[in-house]
Amino acid sequence: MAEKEKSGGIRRGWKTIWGMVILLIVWQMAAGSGIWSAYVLPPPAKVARALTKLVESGVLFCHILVSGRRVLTGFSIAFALAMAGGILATQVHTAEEYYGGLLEFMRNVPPISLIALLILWFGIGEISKIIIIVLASFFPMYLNIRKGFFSASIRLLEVGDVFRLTRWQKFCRIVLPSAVPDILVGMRIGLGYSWRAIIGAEMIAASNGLGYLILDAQQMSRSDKVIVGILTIGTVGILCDKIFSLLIGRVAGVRGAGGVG
Amino acid sequence: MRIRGLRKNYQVSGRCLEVLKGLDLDLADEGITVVLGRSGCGKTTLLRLIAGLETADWGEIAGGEMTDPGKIGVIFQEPRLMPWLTVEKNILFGVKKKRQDREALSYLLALTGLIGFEKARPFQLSGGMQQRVALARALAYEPDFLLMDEPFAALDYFTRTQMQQELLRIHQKENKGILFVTHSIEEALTLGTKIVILENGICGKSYDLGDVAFPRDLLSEEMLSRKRELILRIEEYCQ
Repeated sequence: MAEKEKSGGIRRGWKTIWGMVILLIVWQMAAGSGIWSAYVLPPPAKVARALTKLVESGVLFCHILVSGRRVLTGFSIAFALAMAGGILATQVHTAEEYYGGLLEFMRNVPPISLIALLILWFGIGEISKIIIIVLASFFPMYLNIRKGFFSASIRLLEVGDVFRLTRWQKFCRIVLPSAVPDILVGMRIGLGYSWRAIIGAEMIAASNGLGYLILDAQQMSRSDKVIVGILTIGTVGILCDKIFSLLIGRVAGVRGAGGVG
Repeated sequence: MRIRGLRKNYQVSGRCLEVLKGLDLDLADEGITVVLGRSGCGKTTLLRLIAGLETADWGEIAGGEMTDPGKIGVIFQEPRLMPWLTVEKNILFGVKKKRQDREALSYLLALTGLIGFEKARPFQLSGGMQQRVALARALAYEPDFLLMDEPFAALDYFTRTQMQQELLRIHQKENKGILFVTHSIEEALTLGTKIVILENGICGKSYDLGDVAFPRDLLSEEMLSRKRELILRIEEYCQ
């Protein structure tokens, strides 16, 4: 069974590589056809050279670090808020009636649309960017955490009642561990949203970060650097997603629920 | 344990459903009292009321001289183990951290035949083994009384028979009072030191089997005649 899964994984890996090779060939053919100038569509070799230069100078890593730090800060704040909101909703039954409407309203407002106001209130410093990340990643995490908390098995909660656990003990020992898979799914989606949001925020008001790298390259007509920026964002996103996917798979494996994601 | 005038109604689709209608029952501190009745007669409701999982509309449940029924251990129809915990952590689930004792745990693991499975997760165990973990968890809580709600109903014949014998062995060692709920006459005759028939929301006739030694041969003349008597009584209720 494990061997079958392993060979299936290797086969999938080869298929992904083939897909990328085909994309590179099509890209090379399109770039070499002369329909578009090299400024508009640089060939893969030119992008590779730009990537090498950015890596060698360390500039790319600086941008990744700056964006990563912003994402991590905003994501952590959003996670703490989402957990607090979820706990409040579960432990105080009427609490959500007070803030539910506001959350529903905010959920439908794209964070990027608030950027003008945020710059006005907080300037173009770090705070406005972090707020954008918090707004983007809070809702998927909150909704998943809430779902996880509310779907704790009544049968298991009754076991807690039999052992005369307090409400808080039942939360810590039954509700919270039951919700771990949903919390991880929320974090996985939230992190993806954070990366998308930070790029948008950095493209509007920043002097460093991956979003800034792309915008700066566009203004300098360096399409090759733009593509490097895009590829970096995609790669970092996939890496973060893989980490959460592994974590979710491990949690599911421990509980005998099979792999998830 | 003493139960007096226990009443419980449910509202189902706007209708009032009377499940228990002033039930009286005395449970011995030792021995296995089996409550026998058909599905839906209120066996589980009685057990849930004693366990404190539901509130009675009327009546009293008291343990000995106390007004409180005391520490109750419950084994449900399903094992209800925490899927994220290992076997040993599941067993110690109801025990306070400072009172957790390695020796007591080893004793329970040996008692329930779970040695070697301490670090296993519930999904890695068979249904019978999961019920053994649930039994060990209930015993680790050091209850004054054990409630068992058809705990072997979902098991196959062979596992069920084995579990019944193990329950008798554990009961002889631990000597805790047990209220065992079932709809199986054979199971009642195998385990019960007292059998009470629950019908129409009250306890009907009870049968004392305290003088019949374990293990019991259900094909013996004596047990067959008791089985016949029980069947006749249940059929009488059904008419």
